[in-house]
Amino acid sequence: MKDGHRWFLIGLVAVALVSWLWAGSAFWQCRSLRTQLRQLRSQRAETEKFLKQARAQQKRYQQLTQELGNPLTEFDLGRMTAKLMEQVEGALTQSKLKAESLQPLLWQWNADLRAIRLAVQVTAVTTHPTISEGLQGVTELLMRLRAVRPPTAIERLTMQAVSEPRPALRLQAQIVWFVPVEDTLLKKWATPTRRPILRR
Amino acid sequence: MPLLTRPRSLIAVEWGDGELRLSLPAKGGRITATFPLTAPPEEQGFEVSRRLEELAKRGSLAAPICVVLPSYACTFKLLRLPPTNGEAREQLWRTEAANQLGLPLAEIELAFAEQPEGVLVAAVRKSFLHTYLAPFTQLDLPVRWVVPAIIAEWISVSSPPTTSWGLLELRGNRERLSGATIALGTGNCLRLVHAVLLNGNNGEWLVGELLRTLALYHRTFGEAVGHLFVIGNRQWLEEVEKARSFPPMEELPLLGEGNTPAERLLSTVSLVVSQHPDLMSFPPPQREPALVWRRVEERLVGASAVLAFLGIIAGFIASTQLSALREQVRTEQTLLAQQRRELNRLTAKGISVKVQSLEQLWRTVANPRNDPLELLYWVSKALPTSVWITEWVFLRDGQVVLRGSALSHAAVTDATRALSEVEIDEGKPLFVEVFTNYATTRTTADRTFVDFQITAWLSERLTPRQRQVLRP
Repeated sequence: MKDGHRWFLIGLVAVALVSWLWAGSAFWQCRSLRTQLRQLRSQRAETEKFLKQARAQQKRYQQLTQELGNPLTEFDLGRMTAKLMEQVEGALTQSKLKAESLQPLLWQWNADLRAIRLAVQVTAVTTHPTISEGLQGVTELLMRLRAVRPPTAIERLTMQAVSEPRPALRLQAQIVWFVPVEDTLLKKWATPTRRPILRR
Repeated sequence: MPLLTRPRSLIAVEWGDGELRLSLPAKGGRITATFPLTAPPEEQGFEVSRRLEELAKRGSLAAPICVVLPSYACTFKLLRLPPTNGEAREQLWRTEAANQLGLPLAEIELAFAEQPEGVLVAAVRKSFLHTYLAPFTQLDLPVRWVVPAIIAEWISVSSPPTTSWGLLELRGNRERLSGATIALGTGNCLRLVHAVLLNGNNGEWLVGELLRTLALYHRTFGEAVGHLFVIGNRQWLEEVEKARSFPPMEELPLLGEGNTPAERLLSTVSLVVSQHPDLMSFPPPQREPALVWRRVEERLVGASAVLAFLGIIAGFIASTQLSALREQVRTEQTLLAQQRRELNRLTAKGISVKVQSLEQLWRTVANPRNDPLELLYWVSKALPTSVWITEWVFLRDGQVVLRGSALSHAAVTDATRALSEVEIDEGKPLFVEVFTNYATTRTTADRTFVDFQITAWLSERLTPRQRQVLRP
């Protein structure tokens, strides 16, 4: 066997070996990439599902904030109470009800609802000529209170027909304003504050 | 004879006298081809080799090959030996042949044929055999038989005369005779073979040799040769045979096909060998390890080339797919990263918890059961005209208290029933529970009224009657 032939054969064998190794390696990489691709597609489908849910939540959040108002980042009790009383008083006036008393109650915060609860107790009397018109005025008042934003809830309502000094309807209601707040405020309020006990 | 006409897959080859002849199996019979050798005698081996290589490349030499040796190159001798059996028999023949032929065993190749009167031995010089078979060994052709032509010719005579008879084979071309072989015997038994190398000494020389051989046969076996068959161009004999007393001569009827006597003879030899595969033959050449390795190497080179080609193709295909897959994976990763970024952005501020809280808040404020306006509407719609309300209390825990007066107890009952039958939200009752706390008769200015208190619950009471508002 000539050396030239031998080297040619060795060269061919080497080329065949290298080419098949190349093909084999590429084939195995293709297999692993296909597996990776399947996993990626599955992950993407999963993420797409979560994304859809998140988008729906975002949309719902926007709708709810439109209805309930944007969560407060800062809370000023005086200003908020004044605003509530102003709105209630306005509604009473527009509905031709005379406010006998308008008393703010203690405010509370609710961690579950992520909102503060501002309540005001109202006592008012209709000023309409008849009971029927007074009832119409009460209806208008309730409708006006329903249109307030952030919305109000009436937790207690007592309506009583009175005859003195003239026939009318006396209204006693506890009107509550739910105002959504941001987490920062909730965290701030949730931090326990303890006064040091001083001892002699 | 009819059996001899059956063609078999066997190739007969003969070269010499400026020609290469082949008898090849073909569809429906055999074909015989003659290729002239134009090179000088000392270079004809190369030419034969080249011609055979061309034929081998075309796949024409795949069948077993019978190489026909010119008879004049061989020396024949009938050894009269006692019949023996076993492995030592051939060794005995070889020793006896060496003794009687007077040739060293190292220089000759021997072939034996057992006959009733002894063993016919044929010897040929190894150097000649090597040269003659070189084209075949170089190409690693499958040589199975190396047969002296005269032996096959003798066997081809299927109905030999019962008395002593002979065969005269004449070799050469039109210009000159190169050699002649005289085979004499009786029946099927071949007794004497005399090969004469003429080298152009035609005519008289051949006649002399023939006469001497016939005389030798007569003297040795005590029988005169009664008949002679001639193979080949007998024009050289025609001039002199009339003047001599030869036995009757006739041309040997050859069964094989061909255009010339030499072609017909080769075709006949191939038929004879196919019918008598165990006839006298010199050992076929052993395949040289170098040649074997060369064949292996050729096959390895071919296989490696095919493998390399296929591997490169497979590699290209696989790597192309790999690139495409990489691109796809990259795209998928990018899309996934984008999705995750967006998802993180959307869910970073705990929006789901916020939405839950806001939903709960919204349910609290938007529930029609918590809205006194709705209640006022439904209650006023439900109450009969014989009943009027003087006080209406709505509490956040779902308790509604109605106080008022009615014209009769029946009116109070009607009012209670009417309130419990109020339906909202596709047939769902507005109040879960409605009952009358009291209904007291009162007479004022000769008129009788029934003062009553009805309590209705918008939802199930958690602690029954705990928050019930009683008359102040």
